[in-house]
Formats: sequence, structure tokens, C-alpha cells
Amino acid sequence: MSELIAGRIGEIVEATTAAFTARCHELYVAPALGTLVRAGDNNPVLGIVAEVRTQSLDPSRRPIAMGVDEETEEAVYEHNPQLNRLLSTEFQAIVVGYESESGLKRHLSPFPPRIHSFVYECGRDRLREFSSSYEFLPSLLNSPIGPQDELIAAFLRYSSLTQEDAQAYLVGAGKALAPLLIGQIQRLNNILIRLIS
Amino acid sequence: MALDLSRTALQIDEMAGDIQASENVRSQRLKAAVSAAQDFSIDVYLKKIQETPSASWALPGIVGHPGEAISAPPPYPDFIVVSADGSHIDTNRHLPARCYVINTGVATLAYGASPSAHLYNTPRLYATEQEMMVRSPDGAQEQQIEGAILGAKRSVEEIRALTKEIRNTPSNTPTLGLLDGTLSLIGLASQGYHDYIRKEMVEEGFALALEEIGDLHKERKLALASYVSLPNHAEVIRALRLTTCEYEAGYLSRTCGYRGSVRAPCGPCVGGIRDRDLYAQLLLPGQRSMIFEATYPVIKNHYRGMSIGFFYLNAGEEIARVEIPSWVAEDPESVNIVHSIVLDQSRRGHGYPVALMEAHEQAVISGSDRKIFEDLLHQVLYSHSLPTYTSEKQRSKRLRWT
Repeated sequence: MSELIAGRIGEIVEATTAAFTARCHELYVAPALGTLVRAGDNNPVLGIVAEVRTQSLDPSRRPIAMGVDEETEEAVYEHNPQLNRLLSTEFQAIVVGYESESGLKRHLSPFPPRIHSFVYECGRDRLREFSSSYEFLPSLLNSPIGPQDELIAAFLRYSSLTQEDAQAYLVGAGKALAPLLIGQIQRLNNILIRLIS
Repeated sequence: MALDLSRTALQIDEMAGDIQASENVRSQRLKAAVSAAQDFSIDVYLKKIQETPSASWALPGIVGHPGEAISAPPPYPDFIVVSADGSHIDTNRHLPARCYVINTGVATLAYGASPSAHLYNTPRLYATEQEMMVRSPDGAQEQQIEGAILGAKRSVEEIRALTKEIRNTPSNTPTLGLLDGTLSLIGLASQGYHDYIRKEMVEEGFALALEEIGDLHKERKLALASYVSLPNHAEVIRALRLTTCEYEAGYLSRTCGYRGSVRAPCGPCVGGIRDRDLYAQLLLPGQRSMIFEATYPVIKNHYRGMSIGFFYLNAGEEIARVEIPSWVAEDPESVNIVHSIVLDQSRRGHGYPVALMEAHEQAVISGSDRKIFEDLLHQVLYSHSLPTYTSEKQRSKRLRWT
């Protein structure tokens, strides 16, 4: 398997300019909530993983309990090998920017990524570059997908690890969030508590 | 207008009353059938067959004891089950092109040290003049492939897909090829179909593929079976009916043999129930019956010298009928593979073999798929500047108005 193929985590199955859904190439192998991902090869779109879900490939076939006589969870899958073909893990990402010839943009791409575009997890350098400015925060605060506050906290915690001074970065994030959440003190507090937990 | 359910419900209620009233008679017949199976004498059976030209009864070949219950062999630690199923879109004169579609679904499940699953389907559109017809060898007669002939064609495609997939499985692991329904293509047995149709569909189609899998079986631990869920057959019951009938052979051949199945049998007769009712009494979960031989003329005349056997299996949730070709029936190891793996599959599938369920899921063409196919047909013909049309009947169904 080439390095390029090995780095793929999924393939887009649904896309709009604001968000996209990707199906993971392997069951349960999904990027974590808050991960920065890149989709497409030309002017790649950047997204933050806002929701991960595993479900039946066929919506009309609901999984049923199969482990009543099995000792371990692994045994359920070993004794029912078809499960790996009938279940799929998907994730939804909200679009927070894109890469263009003139550099990294932190706003919506003019076009959504194409269906079947491959999705890759962004490396540490790309994450540090993207998160060095807090311009992405309004997009996350208004995310139509997933628990917004949990998502913001997850992404900030994750991206702070790439910054030289993680503590200062999180404090800066708190200051950037305050004017965006005027009149929503409780919500601001909730996010701040999650930043340090 | 929708179905008037309030009036229908009254009729259903009436029907339930009739069934309830006949339950006592049915229960008595069932008891008699169990006794007849347990007291079965092969000599009496063979003598009655000789005395009674009863071809219309489709009596099974019996070498053994119908009352016998055979326990399941130990499960195989590693095994593979390959299933194929099909679905089709029949020709439709309301469509703008004459064509049909067969979608074959295949499921290969490997268990044991290296579990794996391979699920896929292969749709195929048939539209050329040659594909739409079955022709007699001299070219003088032809019959369009539709209805029962298309059903047989689908069975042929299913077993061909099964054969192809079996060839791709490792030969060092016990393997079962499993089909849904019957191995006996009796749908073409009627005199309405010419012999050249049976020759092409059965002899050079289905039976040839059966024979090819039989050849593979000579080189590896491989068996083949088909699974009939909730079987409606009464061949074993007919055999017991013959042995227990109190009337003389002459009377029996004149009257009883011509009594339709809808007519109630006479007094002490064991007829009127099904084989599955009998074996629900005789088999414990996991046990199977002896192997009977199906004696349909189409098998004798068109199965390339093979015969088809069948047994009943208490699969846990239901009594299933399992059909096997003679090259399986004659090899005890292959019969064990069938018994063990079919039982295992039914247990894993909560009553119905998992591999069959998955092959079906791969093959099934849903109502919306059919609609999309129809729309696609119109679109593509239109894009090629070909005339598209539909019947006014079809149009009226689409554009319902008041």
C-alpha cells in the first residue's frame, strides 16, 4: 500500500459548501471529534470533524443484538464476518477553509469537494498553521452539525498541542470567544470548562 | 379505492373459524402420520407402488426409514459457505424497449481461523434478439424468455454465479455452496413448454452447472445444497398415505390418485397435512430426517443422469427442507458438511441461513430500483434520439387523478 493510500481515512459521499460526509475505508477507523481533515486534490477543502457515527449500510436493516452467547465483543465479529461488510463508519465535517494557490483560507470554499474525493487527516504543521488564527471560531459556533460547544473545545484542545505555548493559546482562544458569545455567559463558561478538562 | 378492510376482516374471521374447526381432524391425521412413519415398512411401500400406477402422486424414492432422526455431526472448526441468489425485472410491454434484467447476488462467508466476508452483486441487462428468445435447434420454433422461462433462466444464472465463486474459494477448507429454494426446476415441467426449452434451461443450463460443481467436489471437500424455508411439500406424507390406505390398490389408483389436493382425504387417511408438520413431531432441534429422492420426470429426463435428494431439518426455528444432488447424497462426508453448515448458518442467522440472507440482500431489486431503471431506460433512449413511449395504462397509473 502506497503512503498516499495509507494516509486516506475516507471518501466523500455527500457534500455541500458548508459541510461534507465521508465514509471511512475501515470500520471504526475514523478521525476523532475535532480533527482537522483535508478533502480533495485541487484546492482541497479543510473541515473539522463534527460527528462520527457507525451504522448499518442499509438504513432499513437495523443491527440486532448478537452477542448473547459470546464471551467477548471481538467474538461477535469473528463469528459473524459479514458484519464488517454491512456496517459502516462515517463522519461529518464542517467546512472551515480551503487551500488555494494564494495560500490558506479560513472561510467557506466557493465549491464543495467532489463526491468520492479522498479525505486525509491534516498533519501537525498544517494544523498549527490553520489554528494559529482564531478566525475559524465563528464557523464552529454556528456549526449546523454535532454538539457545537464540545466540538469547539475538542478542536482547541487538539490544536493547542501543536502550538509552542498551549496554555497561552487556550487563554487566547477564551478571549477570542468572549466577544462572540456576548449575552451567553453560561455557554462561554461551558466551553472554557471543557478547554481545561 | 383502497381495499375495504372492514369487510375483509369479517371474511378473515370466518376463515379462522373454519381452520379452528378442522384443527381436531388435522391433529388426528398428524398422530396417524407419526405412527405410520414409525411403523413404515419398505416392503409394503414398494409392493403398493407396484400395484398402483400412481405417477400423479410424485412419490419419493425411499431407501431407509422415514421415522429416523439423525443427529447433527460435530461442527467444522473452519468452513466456507457460498450462497447465490437472484432477482429480475421481467420484460414489460409497457416499456419502450424489450429487455429484462437479472441481478445475481453472491455472499461468501468464511468462519474459523481466518473469518472473512465477500458480498457483491452483478446486474446484467439482456436485450439482443438472441438473448430474448430460446430457439429450437432447427430454428423452426422459438419462445420468448419471460415468466416461468425467465425464472428458470435466473436459476441458471444463480448457479453459474455460485460455481464461479466456489472456484475462487480456497480448496483446503470444507465448503458448502448454498442456493435458495429448490434444486428441482419443475416450473418448466408443464406440457406447455417444448422440450428444447427444458434442454437449454435445465439440461445445458442448471444441470450442467450442478455437474460442474460435482466435478469440483471430486477434488476437494465441497458440497452443494438448496434450502427451502417453510416447505409446503407433502411427498413423504403421500408415501405414508399410500402405505396406510385401507382401500384396494385398484380403487386407490382409480380414485384416490386423482383426488385433488384441495379435497379432504377419507377417514383413516394420513393425507391433508404437510411433511413439515410430520417432521416437527419427529425431529429434535439440529436433527435431520433420512434422505429421500425426488422423482419428478424433469429430473429423470433432463438432469444429466443425476438425481435430487432431500431431507428435512429441524433448524431450530423451523423445519426446513434441504435438497442435494445425488453426488452429495451418495457421499456421507458431503452430507455431514451440508447438515452441519446449514444448521450452523440457521443458528447464526436467527432461523434462516446468514449466507442466503446476505446473497438475497445483494440480489434484491427494490420497488424504487425498478422505477429508477424504467426512468433511466426512457432517459437513455431519449438521449440517443430513439423513440420512447409508454402505454396509456402505464401513464394513467403514474398520473393518478380524480
